[in-house]
Amino acid sequence: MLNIQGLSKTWGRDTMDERVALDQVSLQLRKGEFLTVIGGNGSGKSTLLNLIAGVHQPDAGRIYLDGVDLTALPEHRRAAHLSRVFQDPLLGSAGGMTVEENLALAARRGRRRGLCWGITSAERASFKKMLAQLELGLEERMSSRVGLLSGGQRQALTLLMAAMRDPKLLLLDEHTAALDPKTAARVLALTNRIVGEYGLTTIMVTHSMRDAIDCGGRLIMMREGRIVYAAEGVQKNGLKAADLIGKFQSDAPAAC
Amino acid sequence: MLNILLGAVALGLLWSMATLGVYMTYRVLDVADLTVEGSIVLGASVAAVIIQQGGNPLKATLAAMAAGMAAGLATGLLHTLLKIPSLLAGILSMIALYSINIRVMLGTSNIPLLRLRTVFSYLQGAGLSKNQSAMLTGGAFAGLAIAAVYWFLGTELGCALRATGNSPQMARAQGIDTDAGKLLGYVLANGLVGLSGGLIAQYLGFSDVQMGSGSIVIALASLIIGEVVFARSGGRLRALCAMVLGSVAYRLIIALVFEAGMPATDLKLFTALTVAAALYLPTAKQQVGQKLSQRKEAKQRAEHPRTLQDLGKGHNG
Ligand SMILES: Nc1ncnc2c1ncn2[C@@H]1O[C@H](COP(=O)(O)OP(=O)(O)OP(=O)(O)O)[C@@H](O)[C@H]1O
Ligand SMILES: [Mg+2]
Repeated sequence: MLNIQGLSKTWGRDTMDERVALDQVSLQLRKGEFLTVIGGNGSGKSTLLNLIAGVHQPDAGRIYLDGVDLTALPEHRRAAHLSRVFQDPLLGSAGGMTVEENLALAARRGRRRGLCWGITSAERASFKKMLAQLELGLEERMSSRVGLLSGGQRQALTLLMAAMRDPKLLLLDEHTAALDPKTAARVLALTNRIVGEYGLTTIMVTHSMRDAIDCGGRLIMMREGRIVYAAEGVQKNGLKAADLIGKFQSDAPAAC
Repeated sequence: MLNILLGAVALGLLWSMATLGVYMTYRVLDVADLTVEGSIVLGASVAAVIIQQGGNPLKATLAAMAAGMAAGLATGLLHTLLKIPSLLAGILSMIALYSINIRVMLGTSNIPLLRLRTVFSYLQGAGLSKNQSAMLTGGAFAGLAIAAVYWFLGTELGCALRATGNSPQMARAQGIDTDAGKLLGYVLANGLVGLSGGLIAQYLGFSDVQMGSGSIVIALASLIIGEVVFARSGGRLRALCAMVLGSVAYRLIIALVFEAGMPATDLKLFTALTVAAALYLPTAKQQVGQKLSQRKEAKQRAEHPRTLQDLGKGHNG
């Protein structure tokens, strides 16, 4: 499904701040697979996701999704194939627009936008049903501005938006990191439910080793722009947070 | 006195299209577009030249709108294609338009329209005074502009444009070409401004290369008065109507302040101070809000130890 070949990115090449963010990363995901990504600060996790989403262009390497070469497509064109939830709850939805308008925007992802009405009454009814399933009471607040929602509600809404239009790939970059622990747990549970229900191929970056082990069927650890550890299936399910911390420390360069 | 007030209302209605244009850039797209200072004069000059050459006033008015759109296109391309920051792109257009406007006016800096047929002549022919005709004609144009902008912002394209201004990152993630959105926004906004300019020139009876100076501040003042006084709550239609009401209110306030004896030369200082004060209000609110949310985030981080992040910090030390 997703096929990444030798993806590299260096920031500030030939300057004093030159920094290799991604070093020849190759990665394959099968349809419906759920991959979690862990790694320390600056290990290249966000860079990987941003290159896949087209926020930045890679220096080398190619990205194929379902046989389509995404590498040259601009960010907004890739949205037809994949969807995203950001770390910052404010970024994934338009705060000045209403809940239903946000959903209507997502319902048109990858389609031509013309001079038809931006939201239809048939859509409103189906949005209401979808929102009711979140069990956050958002179905009663369809015409409230999204800016009035809490961070957790916004992430839940963004998740729902990301699941619309049957994306081939869902990218989650620490999408629970800005939430309080209880809300984070709820949004994560919702993530698992939505990914399961829609059968989404997913990559989730997280700083929580617990979540990385509990969610999905595959796990990779990154350091200095490379994948330094990978686990899958039974091996992954048997992992403990302590194992990962051990991995992280044993492979780390000696502190000076 | 009554005539002064009628004149103020008429001028306010004619300015309201410019306010709606600034609403499109400043509120919908979230950019401060200084092209306005030039595109309003461009609209005035184009209309004046066409009318002076014996053209149909209605066609001249529409040509003014088209010229404004072209000016918006120029700024939009500077911003999206050449990646020039929006404020600077607007300033560049504004400066360039100064020369262009003189060229449009066939090398002069002023074109008088005395005793020529204008869009206001139609109703004046039916026995109305100039101010009455300007009020009705201006009101009709303002009503059409509100309807058009309201309709457009409700379409798929309009929604995409609003998302572009509101949250560009979200917009791109939802497949919206934000550069195209901005371009379209600049074009439509300056089309409205050009239309306003064309009508104002016909009302005042001249086009002058200097007449646009300060127009962005006038439009902003109208916008803010409209929002604060007429649209504290309510939906988009109400906000758009408030732009027109704000434009009229601004002109009435100015007329009254003049009547009270303020020298005409202090008008710009007065307007700038009003706008500065009104602009500070929401910023002050935001500053307080930001401080609060920063504190909240710091607290959340403190409650979240034992992540790779924290371990990584240990190694770097
Ligand atoms: N836009 C950018 N410009 C310059 N350098 C960047 C940019 N984005 C990331 N970097 C650098 O690239 C490296 C990898 O960053 P990246 O954001 O991918 O890390 P990460 O694994 O997501 O870290 P975190 O856990 O802190 O989110 C870092 O050294 C970072 O400073
Ligand atoms: Mg990151």
